[in-house]
Amino acid sequence: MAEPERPIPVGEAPAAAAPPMSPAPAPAPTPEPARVRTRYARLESVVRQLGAALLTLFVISIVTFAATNIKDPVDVARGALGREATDEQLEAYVRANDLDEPVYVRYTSWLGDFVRGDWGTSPVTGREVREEVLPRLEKTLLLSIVSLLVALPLSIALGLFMARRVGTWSDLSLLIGTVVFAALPEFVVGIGLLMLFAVQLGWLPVDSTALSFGTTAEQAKAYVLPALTLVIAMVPYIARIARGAVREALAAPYTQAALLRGLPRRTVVWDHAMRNASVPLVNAVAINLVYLLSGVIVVENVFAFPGIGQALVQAIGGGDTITVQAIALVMGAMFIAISLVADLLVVYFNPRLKAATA
Amino acid sequence: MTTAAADVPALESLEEEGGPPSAWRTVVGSVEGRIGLVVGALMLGVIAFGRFFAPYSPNEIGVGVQTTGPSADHLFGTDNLGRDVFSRFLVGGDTILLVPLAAVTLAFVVGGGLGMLGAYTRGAVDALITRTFDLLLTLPPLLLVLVIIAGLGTSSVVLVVTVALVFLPRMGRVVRGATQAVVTNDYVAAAQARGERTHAILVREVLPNIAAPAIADFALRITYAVIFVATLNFLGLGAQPPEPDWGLMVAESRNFLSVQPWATLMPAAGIAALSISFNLIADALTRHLTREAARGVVPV
Repeated sequence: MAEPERPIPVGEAPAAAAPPMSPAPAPAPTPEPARVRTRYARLESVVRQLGAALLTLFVISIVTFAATNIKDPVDVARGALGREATDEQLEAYVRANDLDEPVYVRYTSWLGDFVRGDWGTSPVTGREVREEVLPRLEKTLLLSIVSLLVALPLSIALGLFMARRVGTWSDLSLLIGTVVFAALPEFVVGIGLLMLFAVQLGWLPVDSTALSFGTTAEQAKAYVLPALTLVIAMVPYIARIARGAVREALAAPYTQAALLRGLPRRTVVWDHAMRNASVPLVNAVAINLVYLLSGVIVVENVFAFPGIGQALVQAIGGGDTITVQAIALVMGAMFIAISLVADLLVVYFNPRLKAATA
Repeated sequence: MTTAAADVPALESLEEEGGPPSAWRTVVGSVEGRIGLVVGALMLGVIAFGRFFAPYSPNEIGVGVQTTGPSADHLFGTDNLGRDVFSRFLVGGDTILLVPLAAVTLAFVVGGGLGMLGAYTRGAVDALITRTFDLLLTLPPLLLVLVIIAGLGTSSVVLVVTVALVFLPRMGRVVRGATQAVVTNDYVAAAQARGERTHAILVREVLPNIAAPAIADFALRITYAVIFVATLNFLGLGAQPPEPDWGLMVAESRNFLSVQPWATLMPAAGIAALSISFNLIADALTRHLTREAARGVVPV
């Protein structure tokens, strides 16, 4: 599912993509205080990002619980016990599951149980939700990370390539290519790849069910098409963001000045333009990462990939509220954790950002 | 060459005079916009009028042999229940057009209204609105919609409202940003001095002046919403069988892909064409607005 904030017009992009650069540090009498402040700035940004992640998770838990508890308790009981259940049975179910308690009491006890590792038992499959979800989570996580590791460098390289050729034929055709690919839903991309590589060429399996029982080689093959679909869904967005960020930096007066001073282009592009472009780029990518990762839900369903996205859609179709709640929270945590790690890695690796994000 | 060179300054001087740039001229003036318009018009024609040309009833089971390829009787073949794929294709495009239109309009009215109000009043109201937008923006959109559908079940109304909820903060932020640039103008101060009421100022003074970015954003969100709704239908959480819907058709015939690819590929192509055409138009609009002519820049 893709539909990140494309770096566009008026208002939005500048606000999202270009955080205010921290003011130039006042000339310090000794280098010592400056270093201390830098360390705090980095720590502060880490703490702030952690806090934001926790807050988001909290909101996701509230929304999930609220949405799945709108139904009347009796209806919930009927859903679990079947249509033929008697009133006494329904009442007993309601009492046994504390459905007669006020919502906030149920919410806190649900969240408390969840955090302690008790995710409940699915009324549909009769299995412990936790044992059902955790092995699937591993596969979904691996699929997401593999896709990101391919998509990020590829799209940044593509964006840089385009930004250095703004207005040329290759830039324009690539740009229109990204527009076309960005308009394709993940499942259409997936079906297209399936048709090409699995049905026509027969190189890869038509679904990813081999993950549950196949050999290691078969399991590895089962990842290829889902990952490729996610990559194709992500690259157009990130490449466009990268192109915008790099282009802006290349057109900036300091880059132009450096170039006119006769510095080698290589130095100008990498040391002047890319370093400055990385700040808005990272911000925009981090904002969109959660969005782009949602595609994993769709891709898993296209390829019958045994991950939590497939389980989520099945649970919704089967009215399995307890599993839906658990997966929503786990998946929310997974998305947020991945984008948090991406943010922190960049803060860690790029010394410029420790000031810029603080 | 000469026409292009003559066009650019003309458009710019138009904007400098303060006249709103014509969205139509912008789209028609670019190659991608023209392709988008042609394909989009074609798809709209199929969606709106295709149903009158359907040779069979879209839901009638067994009008032909099950899961066969194209033939003179069945242009796109039949699906696994022996239904005519061509008839289902002609009828099945309406939800992925109407639901996104309704949802994005709702999101624009509510989100845009809040964004305008926030940027205009500033202060505590603005802070509250912005924080709410930010909070909603952190929620993973597809997950949010799925969870709501898990709780409420699915129907056109639920789809419209939940998809609108996803787009509301995004559109609200764009409108707010555009409004911020406009409210400092003298004509707004003049209207305030005349003692006009807030909603009159917003509708009569601000709205016409943020029309250009708002329209471009609207077009872009429609593309996203088409993708979104088609995806929900594909996942079986939007349109319900036996409804002929492109997304649902792809899901239902996916397992027969090797035997009867037409039943899967035609609806998938329909979704792709519709959404690509919208995206091309939106991109043409957006790029005109950001006007990325790199004049006077040393090429790197």
